[in-house]
Amino acid sequence: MSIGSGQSGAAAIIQPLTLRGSLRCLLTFALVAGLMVLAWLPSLQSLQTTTADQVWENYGIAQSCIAQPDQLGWMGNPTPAAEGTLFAPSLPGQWLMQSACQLTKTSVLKPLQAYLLVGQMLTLLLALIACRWAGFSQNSALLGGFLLATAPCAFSRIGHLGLAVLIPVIPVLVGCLLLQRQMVDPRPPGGWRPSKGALVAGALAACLSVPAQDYYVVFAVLLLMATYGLVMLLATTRTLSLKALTVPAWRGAVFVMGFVAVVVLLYTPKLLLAGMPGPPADWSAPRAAIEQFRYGLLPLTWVIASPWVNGTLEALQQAGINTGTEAYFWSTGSLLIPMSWICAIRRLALPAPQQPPAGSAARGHGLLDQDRRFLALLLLLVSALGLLCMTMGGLGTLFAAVVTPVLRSLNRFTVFAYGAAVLYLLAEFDLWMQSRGQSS
Amino acid sequence: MAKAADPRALLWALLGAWIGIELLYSSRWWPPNPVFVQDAAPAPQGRPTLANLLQQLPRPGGAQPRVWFAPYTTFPEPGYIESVFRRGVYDTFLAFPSNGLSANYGASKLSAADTLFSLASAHGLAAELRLARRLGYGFFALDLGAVTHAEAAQALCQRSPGCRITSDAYALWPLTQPAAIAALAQGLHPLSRRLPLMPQRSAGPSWGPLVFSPFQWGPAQLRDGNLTLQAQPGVSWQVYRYPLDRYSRSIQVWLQLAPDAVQLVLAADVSRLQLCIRANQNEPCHSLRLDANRRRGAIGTLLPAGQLSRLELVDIERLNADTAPFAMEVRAPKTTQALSAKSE
Repeated sequence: MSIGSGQSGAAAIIQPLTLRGSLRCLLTFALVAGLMVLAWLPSLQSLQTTTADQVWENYGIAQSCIAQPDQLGWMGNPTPAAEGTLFAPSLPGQWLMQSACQLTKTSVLKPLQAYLLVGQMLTLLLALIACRWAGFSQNSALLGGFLLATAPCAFSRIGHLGLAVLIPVIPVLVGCLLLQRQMVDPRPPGGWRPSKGALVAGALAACLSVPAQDYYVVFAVLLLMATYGLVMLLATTRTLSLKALTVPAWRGAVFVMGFVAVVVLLYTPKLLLAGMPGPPADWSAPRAAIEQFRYGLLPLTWVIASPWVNGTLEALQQAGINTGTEAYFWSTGSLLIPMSWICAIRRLALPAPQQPPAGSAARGHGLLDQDRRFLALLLLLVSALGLLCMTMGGLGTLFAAVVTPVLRSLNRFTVFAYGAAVLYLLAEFDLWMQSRGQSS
Repeated sequence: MAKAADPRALLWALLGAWIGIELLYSSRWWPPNPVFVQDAAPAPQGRPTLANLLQQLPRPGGAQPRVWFAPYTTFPEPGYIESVFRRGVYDTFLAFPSNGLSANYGASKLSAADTLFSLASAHGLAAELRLARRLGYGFFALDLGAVTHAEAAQALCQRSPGCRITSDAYALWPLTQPAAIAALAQGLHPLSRRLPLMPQRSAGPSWGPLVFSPFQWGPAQLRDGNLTLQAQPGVSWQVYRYPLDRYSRSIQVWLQLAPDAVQLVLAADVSRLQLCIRANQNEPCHSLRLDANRRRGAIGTLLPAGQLSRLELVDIERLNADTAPFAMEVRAPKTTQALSAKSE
């Protein structure tokens, strides 16, 4: 069964299998994890004293550990579905909260510190696995995990701790890459087999993304659908034969179905909660479309690097201007984003190499030129989606005004622009490292 | 033969250096004063913060002390900051000991506990105190910045045995001796919260077992002990009624409304109004007609428990289409009113 590439995904991830190689691999991971913890040290220290803005996660963890029924709102017989689902509605979210709670009980860590540490370690580990699955080299995959776990937009979100944990970003973007690979697989359709592979690949991508944050789940599905549309659009430039277009359309649809099915499964507690009797959920947190102009995406924040952001924030604080945790300024960007735009445009301007003929043998593990091109395209797609849909007054605002204003903090999309930039630069870095290896 | 230098190596090195600089700044290793570190507690001078005081309290069997935070505020607040001594909407939460919570603060919005706490809060601080005691809370923490006469509250604390004032402006009373509690209730009567009906601002307004749709009903007002909500101009309004049989008997009596406790009152410039009240699209429509001869009508029995009821406009005759067509008045349950009684 093929899952994303010709070679078995699991075998590719667990290279090398020798004892020495495994030890070296473990040591490298431990070193990178140690560096990551070191980078988070000032933030971890600041969490010794909870700030008012960190109340959501603090409450959520406390709810998992020690909250009493009347604090949750139940004064009679609590129902199992109602307990522990309010602040961590998905199964992975609950697991994350409970892990932090257990770590708090067995260590000197405070609840928020434990939550942050568990979250960052998971970000590192799952980004590493996702990158290896996509064919990145071990060093690039580790670097990718490190860059995500120490992203400027993670540090700037320490006030709203759930947003400082960027677990799903790389797995979702890798999921887009795998979706594209499934759709453009040159092998002819073999009945049920390729579809089953696509379904499993979609489901695995969803598992790796640990869907625990509603906004990230919405962004993930949006990105997969946009990728699907992009690949289908590109396919129509090659052929207009409906029969030929059916194959990528079906494979892609099955991949997305696998992804969505797992997300729905993991969100069962929230769905059960929505079905419970009570006033409609949106009555307790009324949203208005006008809030899009307070919490929407400001594209300028993508290109302002953190040294200047810190200075700006301090100036605002000294002036007594409230910079609430949900304000657009907290979605800090990075200079990596504009740099990778330039590189991506350059990559796409280069002539494409010859495509493998239809029906050729399965691709080997590793990144090909077409993967780098797709990652460049993905970066531009993510950026375009951000500019069109997430900005104040964009399509997201139209959606809020016409359909529902429930999604208001669209500035949270910035992490995906950062993730796509990191992933593309890593692909280029991988190529450079390969060329160095071959020339030496 | 020496190999030619790879210019890309320099570019990657520069990129790596830039990532290092970004990391240094964003991780707050540099500059060393982090933005997020909270200000030190204001001038302790021998007085502990409430969090520290709660940590130091004796804990029989390791149990958390249960603290009632007054005035009651639902969680999370919408952005209104009631206390003059707090800066942010969640600041009350900082008073909790970091190893856990055990307080009324944090009830989920529009839950049964929230509706009960809000109801008691609408009847004043003394009602909150009595409810806290009946629910088994061991301490009563009054936010001195959120009441109308902070000096009076401070003086009340100084007169009460066992009361402590904290550096973050809370007065903490132990709820152990009935005589002291009765005296405290008497002392709290002249005090009131700075923002009346504060919990009603955070979500859809609620009163007893009724929860009203946000944006369809005007701001809640307390008139003669009854909650009054103006219906916003529109064609449909929604109300949810909690089924009380799911809750314990003691809670049921606090939330139980009399059959005529919910009334619709015609607005001054409306001469005729006909509404269709129904729980579901498939349910039969109960028609309610109000006019100049009958300006008020009880609808409590038309709002079934456990269901979302919709009040649909059928016919109206009025002078101005932009004003509220009617108001809903809801009397408080008698048992809850008893919480605010002046005698203990």
